[in-house]
Amino acid sequence: MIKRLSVLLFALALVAAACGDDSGDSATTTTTGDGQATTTTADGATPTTTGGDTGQGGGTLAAVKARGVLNCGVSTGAVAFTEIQPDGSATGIDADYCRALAAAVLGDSEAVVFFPTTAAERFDVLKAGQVDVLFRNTTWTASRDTDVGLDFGPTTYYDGQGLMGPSNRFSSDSGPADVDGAILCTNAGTTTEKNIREWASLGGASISLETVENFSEAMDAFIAGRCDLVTTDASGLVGEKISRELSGEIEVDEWVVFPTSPISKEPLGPAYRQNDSEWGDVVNWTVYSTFIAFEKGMNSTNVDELRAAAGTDDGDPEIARMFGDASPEIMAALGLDADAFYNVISQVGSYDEIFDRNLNPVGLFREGGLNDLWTEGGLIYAPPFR
Amino acid sequence: MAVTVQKHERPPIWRNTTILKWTAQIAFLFGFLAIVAVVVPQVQDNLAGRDITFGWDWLTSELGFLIREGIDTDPATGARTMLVGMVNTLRVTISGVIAATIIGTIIGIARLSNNWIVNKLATVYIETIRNVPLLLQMFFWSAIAGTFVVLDPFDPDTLEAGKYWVAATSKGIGLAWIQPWGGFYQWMIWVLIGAVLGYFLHRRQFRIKEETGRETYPNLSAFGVILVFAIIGWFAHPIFGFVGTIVEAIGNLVGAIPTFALQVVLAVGAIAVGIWWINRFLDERRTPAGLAKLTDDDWFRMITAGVVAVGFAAFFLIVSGFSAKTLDVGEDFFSRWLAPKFDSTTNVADITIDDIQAQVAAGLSLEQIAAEQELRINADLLGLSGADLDAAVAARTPAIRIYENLPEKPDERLTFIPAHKLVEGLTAGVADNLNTLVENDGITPTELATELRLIQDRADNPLRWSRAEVQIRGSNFLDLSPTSGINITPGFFAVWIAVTLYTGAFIAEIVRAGILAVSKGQTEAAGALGLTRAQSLRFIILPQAFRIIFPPLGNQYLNLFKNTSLGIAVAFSEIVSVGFTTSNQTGQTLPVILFWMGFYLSGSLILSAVVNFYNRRLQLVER
Ligand SMILES: N[C@@H](CCC(=O)N[C@@H](CS)C(=O)NCC(=O)O)C(=O)O
Repeated sequence: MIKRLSVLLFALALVAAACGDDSGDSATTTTTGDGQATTTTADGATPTTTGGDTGQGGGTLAAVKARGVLNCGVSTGAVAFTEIQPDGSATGIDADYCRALAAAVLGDSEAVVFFPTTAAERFDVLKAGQVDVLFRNTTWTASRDTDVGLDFGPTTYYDGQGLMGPSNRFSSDSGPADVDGAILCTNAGTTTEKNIREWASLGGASISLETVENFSEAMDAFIAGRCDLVTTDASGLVGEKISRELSGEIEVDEWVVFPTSPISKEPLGPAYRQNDSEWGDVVNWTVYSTFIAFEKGMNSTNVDELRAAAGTDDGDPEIARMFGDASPEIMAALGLDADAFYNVISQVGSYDEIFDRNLNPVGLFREGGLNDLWTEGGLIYAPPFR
Repeated sequence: MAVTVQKHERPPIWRNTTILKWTAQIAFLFGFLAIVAVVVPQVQDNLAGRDITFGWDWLTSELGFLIREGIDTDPATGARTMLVGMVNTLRVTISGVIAATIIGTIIGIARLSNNWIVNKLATVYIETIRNVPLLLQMFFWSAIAGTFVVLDPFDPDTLEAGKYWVAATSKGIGLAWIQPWGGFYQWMIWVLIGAVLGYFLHRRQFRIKEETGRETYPNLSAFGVILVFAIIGWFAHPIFGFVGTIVEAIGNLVGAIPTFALQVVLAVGAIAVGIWWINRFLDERRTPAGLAKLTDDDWFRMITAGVVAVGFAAFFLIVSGFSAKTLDVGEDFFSRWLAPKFDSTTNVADITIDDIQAQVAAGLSLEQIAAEQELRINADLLGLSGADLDAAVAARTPAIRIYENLPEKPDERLTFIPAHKLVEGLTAGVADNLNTLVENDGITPTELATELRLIQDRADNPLRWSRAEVQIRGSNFLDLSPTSGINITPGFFAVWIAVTLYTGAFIAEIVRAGILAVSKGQTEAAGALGLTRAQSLRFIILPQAFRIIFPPLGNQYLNLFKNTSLGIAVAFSEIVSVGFTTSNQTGQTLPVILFWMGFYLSGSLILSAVVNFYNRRLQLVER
């Protein structure tokens, strides 16, 4: 609520603002952290700082550097994507990509403040300048790219929407006819709520949709019988199911996720304010660097070894370029330190490392799927680094 | 010696108060406009710089998300989406205001009770409720709603499909309710006649009581008359069947009025009201010694009134669409809406019971049958025929959606058979198998048609109990029927009960304070006059207390109205919740915020206007 209010106040303050400044130097007013500790705030206890106030179509990179800490928008809690830990830190693939970006820009993967956002408020929080980037299970769509006024980076997880219900009623090949007359729960402000309406009406099913603020509330409502099914990105459903099975809250396969082929395309990746290509390049190439590392078989343990080998005559020149050892002018043009991407790989890891660490425990694997390397039939592909 | 006569000179312009005042006003106005002119482009720049777009296209475009409850769960446009949210907010506000007033009054009086337990219980209620944040209370009630029995067709221990007086389920709470039935509108005529007679009787009895001091029971006799008419009407309502013809005639008459005539009448009316207002204004300033001197302010008001009146007149004359629409709506109301309510039977759809049975046997749900009928009845209007029509039926496209996408909307309106009308009144399980009902239960097709509301028998009782119904929907899901009894969703329940109890606590304190504020001398004087305790409360204390209670009560109603905006936290689809989703889906944050502000502002202003109006009337009584 507090965050939402501050967005509201911010919007009103805009109305009162006498003149805009393009310099973005107001970011120095931030009061959070010393750039070392990872401060994580639970929803509702967001620091009252307005973060880097850098909306004016540019300057995010300079603002983040000046501030010494990255303000990263994550979700309020999505299994294996962003899990806010009791000690205040955050784990998950989205949280790790926040760290990777901090490592690239600031040289320190822990120089991140996580801002948990609900799906409905995330774009306002981003556009108001409270966060520098969103890693928040955000689907790249045409209208968000245009109307809503965002830009998107490379997809870090190729997902698709699914439904989940009790397995005594549904199976993995249940379809629209099986959900006719049901009440479904999901969280508001998502592609989910639009997809499900389309899917149901095309399939001739009439459904009711109960929308809540956070997906965890949707799960609560589902468990309490307020709705018959839940629906969201399949990764989220599988995550909720497996983690509950592991904790013994439900029996194994008490719930089933369906249909086997998802009802929509949900490419999830970073989103940032539009018309800031300097910042966009940094975010994109940070993600690509993890892809390239994946391609080269690098990870946080062998990176030093491979970097040293790349320096030799028969070494891999692309690795040398990416780590700023050869053609450092690319890194300079990006506005980053020469070893920015070395920091990413050594401190956070390659794509496969990040993926496996976070998603394998909840039963999500990249092997043979869309999230595998392009050479393995997947869609993970980075442009050449040269 | 010349005497210099001090001539009364007009002061120079720069010291003439009239001119100074007017100049100041005008300068202020221009200053304000100038600020607006500077600020608006600046704001636009800032917004553009932050990629915060600003526009109203979303009001007419399709947003594509479903809403859990409301007048339209699949709204076709952004404007309609917001309308659904607004109606939901008003629904919970109005029912909350009524309930909070009742609870507040009872608790407020209980607080003054001499009974120790009653007194303390009331105190505990007030102190607890007032000191716990409203949001937490909503979460609490939402959690309570989460403990209600889960509807699961595979679980023999939960509620089965069927009718219930009360059904508290995880998908909502169903309560039995009184529902208008066959002869309702004929009966209402009886009740109306009773009410008019009762009013005059009340006036007469009251006058006699005032004049003679004799007890004439004005309230009781008025109520008695209404009751007598209601009872007679219960049995005799069919005699008013002929009213339908009259209503029809009125409708035709309204339809026959040329638009231009209404325009002229409205314009003349606006001018007349303006003249009347100015006249009254002058009258008030007329003393026996002639017209009092008019101040600048008086002039200003009179000119404003004149300008507004002329403005309205011009609007009515220029915008013919307004008058045309008014006539349309009027005609529709009488001919299409009211007149059929008196017909002895109404065939809503061109479909026989056999057809329905055949379709049900073929596996169609009643909703599907209704949707198809809706398309077929409106086929001409929608410009559908042959293959197009069949395709639309097969795709189950709702008629309203096709209508809304028509490039040019015909003058005529859609005829709806809302799907629920078809299902309404059916016993549980019947929706699945009409044949069984007809064969096994020996129900005649006419009875069935009546139940389905394809035919409405005006000879039926005016009212009937409509019990809550747990019904089977679609592919074997249990849910509360939206049309049997009242159906309260968990979201509505949590918001409604929380704002009711919360505001009720404040109202209780206001009631208590109001009663205590009437000076003790009044009670003693009443006692001295020989009034009993009840009489003194009824005639002396409460009338005075009410005058004190009323203004702060209005504030509490305003608070309640605004507090419903917390409903988003418990998944109630009120205006804020619906607006948030809209702003996220369209990126139009500021317009949505402005929309909210406009809605809450006008809602609050209307509410306080009503409260002020009654307050002024109460004050008049005092003189
Ligand atoms: N990918 C979709 C849905 C994103 C979404 O909200 N996913 C859920 C479930 S995986 C979530 O992140 N919930 C966490 C929260 O509500 O904060 C979108 O971008 O609209």
